[in-house]
Amino acid sequence: MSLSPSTSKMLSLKSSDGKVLEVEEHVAVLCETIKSLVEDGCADSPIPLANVDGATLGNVMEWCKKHADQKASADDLEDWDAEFVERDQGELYHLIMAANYLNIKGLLDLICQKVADMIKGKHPEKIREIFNIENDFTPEQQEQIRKDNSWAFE
Amino acid sequence: METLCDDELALILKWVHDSDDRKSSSLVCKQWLRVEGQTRSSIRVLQTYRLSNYLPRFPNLVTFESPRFIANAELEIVSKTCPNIEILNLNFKRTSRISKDFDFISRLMDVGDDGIRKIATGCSRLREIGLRKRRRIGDGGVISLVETAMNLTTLNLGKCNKITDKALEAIGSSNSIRVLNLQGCSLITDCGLAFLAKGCVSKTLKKLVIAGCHRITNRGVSFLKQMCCLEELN
Repeated sequence: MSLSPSTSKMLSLKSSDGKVLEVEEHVAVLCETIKSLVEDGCADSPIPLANVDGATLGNVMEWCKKHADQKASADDLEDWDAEFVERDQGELYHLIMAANYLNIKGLLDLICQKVADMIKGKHPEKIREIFNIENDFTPEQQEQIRKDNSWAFE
Repeated sequence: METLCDDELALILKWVHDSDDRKSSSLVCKQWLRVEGQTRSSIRVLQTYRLSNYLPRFPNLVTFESPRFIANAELEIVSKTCPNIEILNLNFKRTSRISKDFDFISRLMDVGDDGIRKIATGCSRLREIGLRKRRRIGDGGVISLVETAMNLTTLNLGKCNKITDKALEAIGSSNSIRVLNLQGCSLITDCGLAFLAKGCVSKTLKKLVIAGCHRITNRGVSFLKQMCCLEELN
């Protein structure tokens, strides 16, 4: 199926909070989930995306638009991506969930790598603080895992 | 803030490779402990005590490594817990901290043919196996490995000095082994090399180490001329 920008038509996407976004088809089909719908002729208008809120959908489509632009060089995209991921954890989490649901491997890898980088070199206490996670281990469990981790293997 | 489901956390931890970072991740909370374990692909075990307690965290290991003494029963745990292992590196390394007495007793309980048989039946995807200096392993263990591990390409039996020509007969019938290390296997003879040269393995073997195999003579080495793929002989 050829989808060149000049012939691309518009698709309507409807977010979980009811916002409708008009997106060029050649941009939206970077989402494998949407691409399958289009190819199968099941792309109702607007396409309901029950797992993605409007703000996140806007961010996702901004990324897709940049990456659908055939004039963008690899260097250019790399710089642009580096800026794109400068967001707070909440937004990054939403982007991971959306990229996973919409099946956009490039975006999913980008955000997951960014979040992984936030883990690197940190102690568990610091990771909990960054990601706002509650420690649900008992002190005994935690001590046992710590012991196994430090003596038993690497 | 919203929490990620296990799948999404797994996608993130896939990018975390450093051993210390993975250990820190496992101590964050119960979900992270679970997902870190599920996404870990390799482990190097330094202490087999409590293996049955912590190994079940890592059901998807591809590489299992341990340079220490490891008993048959512990290898049985490995075979049952981690069926996807492809690389098993048990090449033994002595630590200076171990006393002579402890070393002697441990050696009596170290892995032998039974443990290797369990691994052979439990882990069908094995590609690379290192058993260097596991001196209790004999022909039986090697035969069961070669017969069940259909994808086996690398086999290190250096200094396994219970190995005889019988094991080489089984290795000779393998049609996948490319690298074979028999360094210091003092019981093997020219007859064993003849099994390698005449069997299927002669069509796949690229590298063979027979240094320190004192019973091998020039006559045995001359058999190896029949091996068309052999690139390196030591």
